[in-house]
Amino acid sequence: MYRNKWLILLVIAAMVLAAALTGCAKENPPTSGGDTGGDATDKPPGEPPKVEDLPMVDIIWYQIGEAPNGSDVMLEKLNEYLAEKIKVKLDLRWTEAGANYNEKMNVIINSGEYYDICFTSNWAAYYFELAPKGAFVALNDMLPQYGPELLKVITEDIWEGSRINGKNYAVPVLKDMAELAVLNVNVKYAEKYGIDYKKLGDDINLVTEALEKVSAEIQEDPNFIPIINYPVGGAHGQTALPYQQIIWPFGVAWDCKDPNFKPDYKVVNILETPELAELLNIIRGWNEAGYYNRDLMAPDTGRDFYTDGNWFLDWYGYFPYHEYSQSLSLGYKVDVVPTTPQKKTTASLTGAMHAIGVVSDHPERALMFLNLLNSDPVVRNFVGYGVEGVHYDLVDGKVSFGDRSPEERYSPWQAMLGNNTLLYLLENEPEDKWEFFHNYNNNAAISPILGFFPDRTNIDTELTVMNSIINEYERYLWNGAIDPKVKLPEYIQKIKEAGGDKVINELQTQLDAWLQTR
Amino acid sequence: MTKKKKFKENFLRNIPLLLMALPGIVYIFVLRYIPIYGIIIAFKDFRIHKNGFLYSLMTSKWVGFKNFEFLFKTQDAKIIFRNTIGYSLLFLFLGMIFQIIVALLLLEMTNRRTVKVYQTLIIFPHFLSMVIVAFFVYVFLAPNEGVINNMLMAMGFQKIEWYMEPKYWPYILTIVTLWKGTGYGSIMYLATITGFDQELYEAAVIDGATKWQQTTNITLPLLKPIISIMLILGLSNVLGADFGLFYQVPRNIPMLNPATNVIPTFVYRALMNMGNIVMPAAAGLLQSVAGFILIIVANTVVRMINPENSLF
Repeated sequence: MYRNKWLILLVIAAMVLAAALTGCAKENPPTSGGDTGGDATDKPPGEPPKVEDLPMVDIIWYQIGEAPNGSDVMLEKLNEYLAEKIKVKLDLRWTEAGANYNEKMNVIINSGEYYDICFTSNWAAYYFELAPKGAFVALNDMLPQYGPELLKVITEDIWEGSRINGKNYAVPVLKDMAELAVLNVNVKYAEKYGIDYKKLGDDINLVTEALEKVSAEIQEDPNFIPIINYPVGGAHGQTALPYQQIIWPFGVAWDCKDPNFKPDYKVVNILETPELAELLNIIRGWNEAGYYNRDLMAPDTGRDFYTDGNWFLDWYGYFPYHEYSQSLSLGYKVDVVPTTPQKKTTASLTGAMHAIGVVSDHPERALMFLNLLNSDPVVRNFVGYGVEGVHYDLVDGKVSFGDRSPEERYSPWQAMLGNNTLLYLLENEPEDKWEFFHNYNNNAAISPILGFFPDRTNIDTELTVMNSIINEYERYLWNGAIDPKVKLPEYIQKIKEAGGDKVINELQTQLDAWLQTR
Repeated sequence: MTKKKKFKENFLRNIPLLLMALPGIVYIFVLRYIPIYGIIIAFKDFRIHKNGFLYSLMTSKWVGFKNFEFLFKTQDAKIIFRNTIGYSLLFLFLGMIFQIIVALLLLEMTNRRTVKVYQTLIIFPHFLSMVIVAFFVYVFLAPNEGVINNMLMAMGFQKIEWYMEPKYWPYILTIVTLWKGTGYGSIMYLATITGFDQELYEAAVIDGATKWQQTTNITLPLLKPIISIMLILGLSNVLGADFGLFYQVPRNIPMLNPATNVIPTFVYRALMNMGNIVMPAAAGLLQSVAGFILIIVANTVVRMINPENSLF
């Protein structure tokens, strides 16, 4: 008896304490600016608030990328400007890309820690996973009042890419909004072996021929790599298939090379298509002929192929004009050959975004800041290049680093920060860079299912199991390290057993419903 | 004297000691017991709410065992559970045998300097990260440049594709585990044996007992309690597995999965590209509960055989 009583008491105490803690969290929201969103209600809707009436607030912004050198100096200057403009004091917190940023944001968001703005995307701080869970504020109602410039700068088709059930939970970063897999070509070797590399994009058999020719180089240089493969596995080959994925490996047929293509909106398992099997067989052939860097299963040695320079091809994700910047920094000529037209897809439109956390006490002020970041060149160039005269000089309206060493420069992960078209040009960049950007974006082939994103609720278990299978096979199938003739049927079978048909049916139902609403 | 009175007396007498223990008790209660409440997340469809984590936790919908389903829905579930439990038991028993043998061998060395050298050498692998161990293993097993394949070919044998054939991996993983864990694990036994009453051995020597007889008749019987405690504790981790050993060392190669897929690697692959915190929590809870049950069962069995050797 006596012991039992103690136990009960203990349990009760624990429950009371837990309840008390919950209460605390509810009653004491952190108030850094002393204001809890009251300014939203005072104004008639639709009008931007008057800056004089606003209280000063702190905005915490988590951004992907290593903290650039001199970030403090930049923030100090930027905050002087922001205080005047929108009465905001910005606290910009950088975190390296990769697992670091993901894990950190995951913990911050799931544990309910305070922040205002965070970088999100389909590949880091997973937007499509976190937004439906209620992590971010829906912006649609706030935009006309607090983000009028955003509505002008970012066009409707871009907003559509990240819309979930009619709501936008993040502000897309304006950059290259279409995805494109290119072959990076080391021109030196193309010339040496007389390869007309510009044609390589037309037919994959030409690539095989070119690789065969150029692999003679291995006799001279045993470290030479005809085509690069990264140990983490690059699946750029996937984008060359005439299918558009919804959730890999499920998707619908779409031949982006054919402008008159009529999509049938029938969900299939792309793994079962003949085109995929053929492509994998070709890749397997490349591996067996020894065109890839040797020993694909070896641990990542961190070798920098580009610095070494003895490679010929690399299947690569394109960023407009990267051939210029790469050639310049590497000291040898790199050219690109597109393997498809550039495509606007749900993924390409959600590569970089900024969301406002649901924990934020002043979401409308955070939105005002994002509005400024994406429309005011002063703010964008502050976060992008640092302080003029300290981190860079403006020569004829272009950014020059003068004789500052790379360590002295302020160099963040530029493309992820905000509307890139507001940036000054670098001194060696062509004048038509942004024009090229606009053309690149506007001439993209548009995915037939752009803006469709499935609700995982009913198929979450199946997709989780499949994710495990996918992570088992994909990496070694796409570099030909395992035989697709044996392993692809096994892979398909496992996907099927994990509930492939159920997922296809569910996706088909959702897609049909989505088509009705369009 | 009534029980109540006795308790009060005891309490008053020990106030200074209790006060000394108080910070520790509060620490453990606040940081170890209260958070246990959070395990309900494994049964919830977690939604993030503005009012913080606990509020989100309380207001999220209950979904029963839905978050556990992914562990059993896969066709590989049988293999995964078989591998996890099989390897755990193998490593537990084999590890223990090797640890005791090493402890006994070390004790027989008379030169203190050489003992130090040996001890340091065999404990050293324990401090290596599995990522580094994976490189070591690769140096031996690499298909073309590997030490073992070069030796095989030099002797005129066919080379073996170690990273393609699952059948070798139970042995490889066992060797790696023993190499890494034996030295460190033997410390416990070494310390215990050193503490035994030396007069027992002196008496045995006078009676003409050989080293072997001393070991089987004195050392091992005296080691029984610690062996059974280590076994009971070891069983608690039967559904756990060293992630690094099963993921890094076989290089995450799909062909090896029949021999290397265990619960932690499966969970990692299933959830690696997602922000899901609920399903890993469910998997972790399942492992803990299974471990808890196993501890209780093992302890009960041991207590039935010999109460003195049980943990509690």
